[in-house]
Amino acid sequence: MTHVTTEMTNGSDAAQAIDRGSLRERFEEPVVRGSQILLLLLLALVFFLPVMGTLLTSVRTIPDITQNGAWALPSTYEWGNLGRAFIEMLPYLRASVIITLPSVAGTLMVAMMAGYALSRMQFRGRIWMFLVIVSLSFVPIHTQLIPVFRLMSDLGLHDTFISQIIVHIMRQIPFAVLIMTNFFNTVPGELREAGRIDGASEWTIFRRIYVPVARPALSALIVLEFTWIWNDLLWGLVLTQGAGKKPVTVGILSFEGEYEIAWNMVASGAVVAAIPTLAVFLAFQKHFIRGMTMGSVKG
Amino acid sequence: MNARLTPWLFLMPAILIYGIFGAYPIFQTFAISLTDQVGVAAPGKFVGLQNYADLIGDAYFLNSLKNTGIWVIMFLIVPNSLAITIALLVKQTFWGSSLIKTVFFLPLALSFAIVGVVWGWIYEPDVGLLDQLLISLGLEGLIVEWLGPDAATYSVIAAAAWRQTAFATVVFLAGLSAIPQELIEAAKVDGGTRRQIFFRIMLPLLKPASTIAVSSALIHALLATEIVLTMTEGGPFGSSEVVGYRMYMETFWNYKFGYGAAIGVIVTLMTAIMVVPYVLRMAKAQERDWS
Repeated sequence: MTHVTTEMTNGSDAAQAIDRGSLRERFEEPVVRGSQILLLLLLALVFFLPVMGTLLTSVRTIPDITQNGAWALPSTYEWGNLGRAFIEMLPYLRASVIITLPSVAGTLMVAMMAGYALSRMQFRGRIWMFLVIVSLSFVPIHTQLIPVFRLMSDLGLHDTFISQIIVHIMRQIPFAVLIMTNFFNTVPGELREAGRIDGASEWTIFRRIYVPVARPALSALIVLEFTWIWNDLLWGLVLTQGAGKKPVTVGILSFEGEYEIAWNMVASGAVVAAIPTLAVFLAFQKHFIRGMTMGSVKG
Repeated sequence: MNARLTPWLFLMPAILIYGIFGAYPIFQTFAISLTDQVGVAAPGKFVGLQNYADLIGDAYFLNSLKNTGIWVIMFLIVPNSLAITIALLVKQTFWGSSLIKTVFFLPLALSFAIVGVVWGWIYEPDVGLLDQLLISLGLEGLIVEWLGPDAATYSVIAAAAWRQTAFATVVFLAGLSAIPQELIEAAKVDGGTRRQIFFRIMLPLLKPASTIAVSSALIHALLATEIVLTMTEGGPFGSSEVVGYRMYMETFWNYKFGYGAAIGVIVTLMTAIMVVPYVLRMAKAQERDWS
């Protein structure tokens, strides 16, 4: 890079600076810009290779892979691989849907109420409550696995959907409450005052005024929670026994074990298992990103 | 409705669910870690700190601890520096912005199960995507046994870093977008060089974003259980185990609940130490908001 010349003088003379700026634009800018674009494209390519390789492999035949190598274009497109993988994954996909949707809905309801109270009400211990919730969002799953496993067995809930739903709601509460609290903080307080003057109860104000205005935060939260809960692996492993109750993340592992060196089928399985969250991500990327930047350290 | 009771009524569902299924288990884990409980059938007997004492002499545990250290160091450096580079490049070139961004964000949508399975066969000897790529580029010399005892930890970290980079890129891009463009223009007019502008203006203003990216990297590196489980199952010969994975193995494969709980406690304490500054910052910001 050719910064040295410009670095020597330190912007005291504005005219000189402007002159230098135009010089830089004419000679340096195109080179720098060009190399920046090149570097960015290269990084993007490297970043995309795993996805591309998986997609390519999923529609090939085994002889094609062994003869032509993994990076050649497929000699024939075996779309049937994906269909077969889908049919085999169906019980797991079904389980994931049954687990994820109520978990997301439950998390949102609980978090909206708690976030509303924390953000809009004055009460003793409020900042402590907030501190506890922030801290809990960092609690590793490892310190809850054993007792929850035991508790669910004691309650006769081992290998059920309901145990997984409860646990997901529990795990997501701290983060979701945090997001809702932060969001309600940005809603003007006059809304609540107006409601109170009209004699509305706290519950009515919450239901009629605050829930409707929370829509932007909710859509971001829904997309994030859906992805996180759908993608969970450990609870699915620990809390289930039979195939019927296992989520698709566990399914992909047994799928891999079953097909071992049938790369095309393993890749197809991965594609099928990834489609729901990928679709949600691509469709709602804006919400997803907004949610991530609303103060999250998860991912 | 009683005004003093109302907030707690709104908080009740969250407190009940988390209390029973989240908070109470945390205390139980501490209690179980002081026993020699095996499996769920019967409670173990009290052994004091014996499990913790045993851990100090446990070669598998110490090895997993060492690997977790490698994870933390690599995870702080690799994804974050890659992400800030990508974010700056995207911001400055605007080249195909949204499509390019999607490419970089995409791994965020994938579960560790899928990342693990996909990268597992990327690393497969000879037929895997990586070896195939190196061969077609004429770089056979670089090939090592990616998931062998020497390289496995780093290979798994690379896979996880792929996903973590996506997260950090999101965070840094948001941070960069929050910097007023006039500030940078003004610095340029004043004759500031790219390097000066980056280190003196952009980097300090990226502090909130950096805090998030760094905390996230720390937490993911400390736990890292799912990706190790799916890619190597800690192997070969335990060489790529991390602390979180050890906890899972001792508990749900060896059924040593007391011992596993002790590891769980240690993982939790390590996380707590790392996130305290972050938590305090958030609380302070909130108090300012409310006052």
